[in-house]
Amino acid sequence: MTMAATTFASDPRSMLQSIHAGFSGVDTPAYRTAVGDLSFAKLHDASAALAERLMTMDAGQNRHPVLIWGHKDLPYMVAYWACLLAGMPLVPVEPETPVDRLCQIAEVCQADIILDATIDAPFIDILSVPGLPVLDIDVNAVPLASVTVPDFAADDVAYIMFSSGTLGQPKGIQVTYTNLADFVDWLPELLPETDHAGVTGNIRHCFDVSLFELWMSWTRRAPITALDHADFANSTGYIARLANDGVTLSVSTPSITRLLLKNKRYNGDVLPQMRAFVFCGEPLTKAIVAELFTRFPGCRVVNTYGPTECTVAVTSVDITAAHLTAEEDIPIGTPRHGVMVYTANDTSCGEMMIAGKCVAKGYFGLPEKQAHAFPFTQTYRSGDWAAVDAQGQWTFQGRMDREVKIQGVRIDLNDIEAHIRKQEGVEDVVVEPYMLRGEPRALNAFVIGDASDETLASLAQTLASELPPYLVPRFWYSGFVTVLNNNSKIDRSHLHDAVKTAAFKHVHTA
Amino acid sequence: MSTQIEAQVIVSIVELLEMEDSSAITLATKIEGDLGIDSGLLLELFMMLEENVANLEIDPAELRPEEFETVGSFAKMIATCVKGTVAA
Repeated sequence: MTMAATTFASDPRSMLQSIHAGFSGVDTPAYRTAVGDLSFAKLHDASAALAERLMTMDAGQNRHPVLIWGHKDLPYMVAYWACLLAGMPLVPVEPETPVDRLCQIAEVCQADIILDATIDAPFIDILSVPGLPVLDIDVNAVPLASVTVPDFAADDVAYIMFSSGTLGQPKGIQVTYTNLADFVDWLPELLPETDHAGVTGNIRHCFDVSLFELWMSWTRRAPITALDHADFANSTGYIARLANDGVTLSVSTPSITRLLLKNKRYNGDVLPQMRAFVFCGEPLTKAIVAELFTRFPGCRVVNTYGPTECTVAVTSVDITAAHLTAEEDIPIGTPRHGVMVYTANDTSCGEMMIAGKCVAKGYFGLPEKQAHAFPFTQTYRSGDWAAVDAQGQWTFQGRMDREVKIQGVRIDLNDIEAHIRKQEGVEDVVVEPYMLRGEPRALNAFVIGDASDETLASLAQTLASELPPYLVPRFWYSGFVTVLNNNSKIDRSHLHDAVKTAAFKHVHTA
Repeated sequence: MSTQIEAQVIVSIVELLEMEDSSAITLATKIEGDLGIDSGLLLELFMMLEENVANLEIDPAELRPEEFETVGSFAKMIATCVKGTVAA
């Protein structure tokens, strides 16, 4: 039975209202962690109760953004829905974020409340941030009345994702309710199977690829089986939970699946319910797809592509055996409904431009970056080089700048170098990805300046106190012979020798 | 027997980190502090060892990174995960 052909995007407020109402009284689990479950009924009640609380506060009246501090605990879902119901933009912040950066983020987006979505004792420092009250979340709370989502304008912001930027203020990407609803409208087309009974919880909520997991769960009322990233080494335990929970849909970056595939238990015999694998966030490799085809016969493997600035993903394609034998890389697919993709030079290969309702509102308080990245109405300049074939199928060719992805997280190497260069005693530095089996796995920093093991360790320490862990290089080298290139810059192609010849080395551990 | 495990651990680390040889690794080398093996790489190392060592079954849930600091103490932990006796 289908409803009239209205889209969520035409009325995001009623989307939120109707999906939330659908949770009421449903006692099946919505979110499952290693320590317990949260039912849809409880998610419904507790989020409505928290939204009531938020809406009576000044921040709620003013619809200021709310920081959600947490990783993968049950209160996270309550916090998420409370913000949606209260019409307050939510800002996911992982618990390992240094306090200085947390304050910067709060300042940039004018957030004045933190929701503590952890179940352990909160990271003590967040309690001492002046002007940022921390609210606890009661997952057993019930609302006084039924909650009404406030009216909002089409370009009101639903969530803000902060990405890489290490210099000056962090880059906050604002995504509107209309962008969000337009993405949710796409899901039944992308994943029309009606029998999805469980979804992975692979992705951190600060990374927008998690929206595939969240909204598939919420629109199908299927549980999410959440992966705690601190527990990553225990993939055997996670696979057992996926099997036990009957998960049918995997959403992941290629990096996460590559790790799971290291475990021989990750196969269709152990996980007979698995139906589909959706990828986003990094280039999907043929090796991963071939392994999935072998271990999970008959499952769909879907590749998608999209920058956070265009609301999760904008292209998709079902990968077939023919893609594996083709000369070209795995394609990223064709644009979803309502999205136009073209190259900046109007040829079949160039910088991808993305236009349509998917294009987000843009950056907080960064007018220059905004003007460059969003040159026309509803248009985003991706910085990604891509090619399109005669059938309209796109293939990603690489970044135009020095942005790399590690575990799906966008990292601008220039940005990190500039941050290290500011530190005392550093003359120059080159940051390069640490590659294993052709994949970036961490960062190497090659430092020129006052050299000793101690200065490297203290540089790493300083960076760790100022930046999120994924932006802090793991391997630090100094005291190596530098070779200059024709432009009198450090020749990066000779740096692999520095790993062997460096007099000083430090390994930074989080 | 335990020296065989130690050798397998070192061989597996060399493979894992794509090192040229094992000259930089001793039993005193720190798994995370010197080699930079994080939880993701540790998982890969477990799986590699399960492939390389007969009768080895590792339950990662029971092996916490904080319980072994060095290659030597790591190899000791791995030796406890070998089921039954290993033929010489």
